[in-house]
Amino acid sequence: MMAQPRGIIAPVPHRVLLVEDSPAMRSYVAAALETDYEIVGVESGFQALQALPNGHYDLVISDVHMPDINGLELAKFMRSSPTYRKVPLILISTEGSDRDVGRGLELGANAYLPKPFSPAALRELVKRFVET
Amino acid sequence: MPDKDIVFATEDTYHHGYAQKQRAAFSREVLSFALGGEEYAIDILRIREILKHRAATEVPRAPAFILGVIAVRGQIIPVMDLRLRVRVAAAPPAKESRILVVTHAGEAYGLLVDAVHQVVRMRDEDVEPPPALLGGPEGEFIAGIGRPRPDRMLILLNLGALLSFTVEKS
Amino acid sequence: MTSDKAFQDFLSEAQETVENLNRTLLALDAGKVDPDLVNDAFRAVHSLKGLAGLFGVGRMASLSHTLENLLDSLRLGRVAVSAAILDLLFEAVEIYGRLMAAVSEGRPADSPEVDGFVARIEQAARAGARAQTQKRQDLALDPSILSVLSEYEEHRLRENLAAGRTLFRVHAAFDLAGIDHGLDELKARLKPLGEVITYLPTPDSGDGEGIELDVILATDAHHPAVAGAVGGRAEVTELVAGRAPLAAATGARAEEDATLRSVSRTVRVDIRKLDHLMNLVGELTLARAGVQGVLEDLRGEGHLELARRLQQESRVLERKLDELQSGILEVRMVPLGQIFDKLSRVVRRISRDAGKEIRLTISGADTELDKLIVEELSDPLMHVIRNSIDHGIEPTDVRRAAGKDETGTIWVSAQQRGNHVVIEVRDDGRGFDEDRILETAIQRRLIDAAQAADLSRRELLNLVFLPGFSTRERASELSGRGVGLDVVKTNIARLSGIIDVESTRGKGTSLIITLPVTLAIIQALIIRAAGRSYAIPLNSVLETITATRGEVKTIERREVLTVRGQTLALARVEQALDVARAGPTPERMYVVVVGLAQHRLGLVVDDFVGQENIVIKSLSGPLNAVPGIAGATELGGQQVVLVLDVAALVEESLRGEEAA
Repeated sequence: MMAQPRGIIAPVPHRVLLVEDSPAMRSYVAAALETDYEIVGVESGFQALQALPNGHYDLVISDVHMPDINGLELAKFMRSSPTYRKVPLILISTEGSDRDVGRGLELGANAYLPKPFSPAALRELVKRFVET
Repeated sequence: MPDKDIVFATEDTYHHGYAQKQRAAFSREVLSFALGGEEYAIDILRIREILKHRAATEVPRAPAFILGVIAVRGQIIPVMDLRLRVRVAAAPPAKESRILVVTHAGEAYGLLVDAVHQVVRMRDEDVEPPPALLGGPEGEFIAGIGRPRPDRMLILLNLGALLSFTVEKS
Repeated sequence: MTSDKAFQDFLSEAQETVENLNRTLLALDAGKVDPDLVNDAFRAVHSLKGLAGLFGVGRMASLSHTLENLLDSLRLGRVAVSAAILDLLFEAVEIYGRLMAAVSEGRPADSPEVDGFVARIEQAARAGARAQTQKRQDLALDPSILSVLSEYEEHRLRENLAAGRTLFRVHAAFDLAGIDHGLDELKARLKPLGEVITYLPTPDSGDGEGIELDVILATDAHHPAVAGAVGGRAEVTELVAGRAPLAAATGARAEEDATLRSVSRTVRVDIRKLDHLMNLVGELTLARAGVQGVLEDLRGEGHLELARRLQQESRVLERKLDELQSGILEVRMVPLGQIFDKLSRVVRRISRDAGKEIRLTISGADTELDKLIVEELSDPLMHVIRNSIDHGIEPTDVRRAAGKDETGTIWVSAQQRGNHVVIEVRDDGRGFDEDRILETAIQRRLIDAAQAADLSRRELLNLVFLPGFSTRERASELSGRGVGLDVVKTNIARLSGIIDVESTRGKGTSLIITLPVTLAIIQALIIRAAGRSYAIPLNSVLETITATRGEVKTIERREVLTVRGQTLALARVEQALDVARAGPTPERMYVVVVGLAQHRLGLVVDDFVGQENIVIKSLSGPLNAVPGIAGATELGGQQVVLVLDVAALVEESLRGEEAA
């Protein structure tokens, strides 16, 4: 968990589920977003499946290439679920896997951000799906 | 473990000097101390703490001005007899003797001095370059002469020069 | 914007990823081309590329980009995995190592070799390109499954179908809470049967408390075998029929999968934090000594009951401190396997360059040593191995002529013996040529002819460790930049270790390195000499003996003592250190016999004080270079004691011997 402890008086921040198997990439994304959002990091598609029903998320950011359950499969799962169908999903992946990115968008991901991306670009994109 | 040796904060003179509000015009602060009847000073930023004198463990093959090593909070640091280093006549440590723990190039060293005076604030223009006639081996240790008041003279020491020395190779 | 924490994470993750890549490559090199391994290697450089891009390490990103393309072609079967390509990949691991070393030291990672290397990779990819025979035929498969497959997964699916395997859908339902465990179990059951192409999660049709999963499995097994493997917990449907005959499912992979689970139960810790904790323990030990002092005072003043109670508490404190100390030491321990991995890579490459067939056999990779020692050990060990490959193992034709196995063998073994770890590097090569060693030593004036006649066989072999000794005129490129075994010995001595050699002409050579398990806290003998206390690390002390002045003889102006028929050279501590002694030397002498590799020296001291666990601290500034002094330690009551550098004292005594 990367969530920062918050005071009870502060407005409840939006929660973002970050699915990424690389710890450094998780730190990077968390560093970019954690001042404005509560970030919950998980390291696999399976952990994402476990995390989703256990809390409300305003946004899911997921890597495309992960072992076992990849970002595409997560996208398809979310879009076919009555509960998570509406939760915005941003896929992140190294550029060069155009075919997989295209599939991701077809399967219902809301946006795709190629790595490497700047913290500012990420914040900009996130803001479009989650109002702060 | 509080170290009873630290007199840095309780030394009245020092405290007095430090507590006064620093004015922008004073660009540097030095700690002044006595050595063989003269008043010397070192940049306050280089001083980590001030210890009462304590016996050092002698180190073989070190120059004579190295008294040895002491332990300060788990760290082992060399102690230099500043009198011997700047070639002032040797004298045994007295009740007022202090070890100034200074840092240079990331390492700590102790300097044994006769007594610690106070923190002195000076303007840049109060500092003169070392007098030309002071050549010879001692001259290199002097970074400049400070005159915070017309009737007061501080010999500002160059730590880098003081602390560069070599040991005998068997 | 990039936080320091994130950057540290980047460094350690990149490091770990490169290490994993290396292991994957070694596994690939050892066996047949396993698609999972190729994919693991691809994933490793893929994440390195992403990381390097985010953290702005341009060279690393461009290197990774090229490698990713190559590995992508490999895993998609467009380029064949060959020895040449594996060599390039191993070279990439080394370049990654250098780039990361630069980045972590704050230097720019602008290794110019990267550009040339990238060009070579691209060329190799072109050279190895396979004609695309695969027809992009449509798969008779549910498009909803096809749509979620990544390009790689789709490729694997086609490959498996082309190989005539049957495709099954295994449908299982899991509780949310138990999905990790349940999945691992299912994986372990399915993997021995074939290849799992993908896992497709579908939302539970019921209450949302569960997840349904479709596993797509390609296998040579038939329906009953698959259904049997998963038991009653899953529903198995055949999607595409295969053409393969009934094959027995192998259980070979079940074991390795079983180890997949607990890998993440570790934390990474900066070694400096452990040093800090160790210092704190040292200070606590001193504080406890203070308590002991108070206790004596209480006793002296007649407060016997209080003293007794304090004594009890103090004992508990001491025991717990000991436990804490060994706990921290244990955390610092890492298995030697970390450097053994690197060795296999070097052996591979160098033996190929040297045109020799060499088999490397490693044992005891799980033997643990202090992390800092393991790091410092890597270079000397590498050098010893290079030496074996270059000078030890004969060329194939020579071996054949001598009736030896054409493939030379190098054994690297490690084992713990008490507080030491013994590492042996043995080869079945030509062994040292004693005549040539003698000849060279005399020619280089390391010894004269008279001395040569008196040498024992052991002393003769140990001449190879003398500075300036090298049995070849020109240090070969292979044995590494003209560095001799003397440097290996110095490096080992710096770790308070010793190195010994055994060799039989025609049969092989063995180098034995003995190292302390840790340098962080060592046992030391506290002695007194000329009115001062010194500490001598116990790991180099062989024995302590007493003697009288009358037993000491002088040979060529050097004092010696005969111990059990052997002549032992003596060195008086105060003389060795140039420290003045007040008064005459006592009649009764105490001798600490120290050993450094094959050399023995008796240090003459005035008295033994006792044994202590000490933390050696180096002296700062120019004092760090005082010969004969390894550092200092604090003993309690602010008493500082110098620690003798046994290696330096022995070396000095040897030089004295030569001068005499």
